[in-house]
Amino acid sequence: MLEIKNLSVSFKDKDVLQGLNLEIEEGIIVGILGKNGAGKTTLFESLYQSQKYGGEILWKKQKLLRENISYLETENYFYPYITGREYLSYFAKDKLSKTIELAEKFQLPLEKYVQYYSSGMKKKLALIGMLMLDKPINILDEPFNGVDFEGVHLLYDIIRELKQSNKIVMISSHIIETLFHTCDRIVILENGLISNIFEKSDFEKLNHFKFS
Amino acid sequence: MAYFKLCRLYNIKIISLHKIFHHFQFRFNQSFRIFNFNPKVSLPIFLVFGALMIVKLPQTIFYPLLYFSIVLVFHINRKDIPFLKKTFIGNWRLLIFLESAFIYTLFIMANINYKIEKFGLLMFLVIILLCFLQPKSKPFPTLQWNFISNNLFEWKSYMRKNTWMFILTYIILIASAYHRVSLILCGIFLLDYLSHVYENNENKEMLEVYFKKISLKEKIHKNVFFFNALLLPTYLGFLVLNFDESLYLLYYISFMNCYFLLILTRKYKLYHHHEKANYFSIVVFIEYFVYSMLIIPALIMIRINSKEAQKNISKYVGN
Repeated sequence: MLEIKNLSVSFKDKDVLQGLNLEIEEGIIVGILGKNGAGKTTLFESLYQSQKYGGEILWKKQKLLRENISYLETENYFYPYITGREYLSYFAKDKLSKTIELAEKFQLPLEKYVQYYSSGMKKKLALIGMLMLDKPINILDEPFNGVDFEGVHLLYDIIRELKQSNKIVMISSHIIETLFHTCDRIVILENGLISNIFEKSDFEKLNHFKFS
Repeated sequence: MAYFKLCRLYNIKIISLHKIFHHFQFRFNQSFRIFNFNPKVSLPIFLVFGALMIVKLPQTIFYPLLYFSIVLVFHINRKDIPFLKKTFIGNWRLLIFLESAFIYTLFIMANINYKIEKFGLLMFLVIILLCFLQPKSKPFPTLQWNFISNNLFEWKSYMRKNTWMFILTYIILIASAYHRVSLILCGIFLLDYLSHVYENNENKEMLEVYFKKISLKEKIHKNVFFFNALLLPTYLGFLVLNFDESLYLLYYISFMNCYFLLILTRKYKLYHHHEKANYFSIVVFIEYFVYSMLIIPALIMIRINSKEAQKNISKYVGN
């Protein structure tokens, strides 16, 4: 289980996270919903251990280490002048065929230099790389941004597969419908605190939800 | 009618001269702005210009050839031809000649060891040919360099991006083995070129899988091996041509490798997954240049950088 206890982060005189508490069991997909500046990315950066924080983040009762977590950021960059195929070859080991198959499903032009990819293609390629890391906790920050219709559906399948492999997935998205399709639980982040948690059976209430 | 035509022609000439004068004024201001606001450009240019003023070459014809090659590089890389075409509709070729001739004259007159001679003057005729040599409008096709291992992705990427510049630089580098002065001078030029090979950062996922396969130490070994393999023709050339002065070669190998290791270890010392690049400023260049020239400070810095780089990599890869 992933346990976030009394998590707080401050920048200069602003408290971005103010004693946030959350518990996530393995095999659960959690959606994080919040306005711009609510602290979603700060929460993810803290989980990824690239942000100094107060409180505790525990994985299986031990301090969460970066080696247990993978993090797909909103913006993705790649080393210039390497092709998609070359990029994936770093991750491959014995999984090259699976990787290439996934890239072909996403219709990625693997022989093209990655810097010429569209932002949606970059997102897909970064996602494949992230999946190949095979970590127990996966953070997806706005994974649907710039991804085409077919890509969104493939992404749904991938997230379901992650759930089946008993992994924890945390997703942030501005498009609430994408969270309805993928999540077991949706957490509302407001002013650095969790103001509400909706289980799957309560998702309908979110149709009329308004931030305070 | 003929008189009118002549007047018109005369009038055009006056306007052109006026425009040319203003254009050179504009160029002067432009250069001043670049030199003033961009020390990364201006400082190396002044250093190079200073060196070219005092350099003594074994034969007189080498001076015009050297300065013409600088003009040629400038011409090939210029991107302002469409601007000149629009501004000086009928006279844009004249402007190209005047600008190139000005740069050539500046260099050739500034050298304290060169005395004007026939070959130097003949080069002005060759400069006329530049007016008809259009610089690239589309990027040159680049080579893939696929034979380079993916472990050396920085080199692969850099050579793909700068294929022709790399080949040209490499030829100059090999030719620099001709004399000890050209060897050291070219080596110093190459340091700035090298600085950019390791400027970009790979993303955190690629860093993680890369260093799960090989250690930082192995990466350093592979890169140093490749770098020295590239320089091998220069080393051998210098040994063949200047065997008695092989001490210079030893110094050259030392400072080139020191600088190389400094920039490689710096990359991972500063690596952060939010940054696409570990931006390289003129201050860093001067600092590492001085360390490398003095060798011992460079060795100390390499040791410190390596330890910090290893620590930083461990944050992403684990133990």
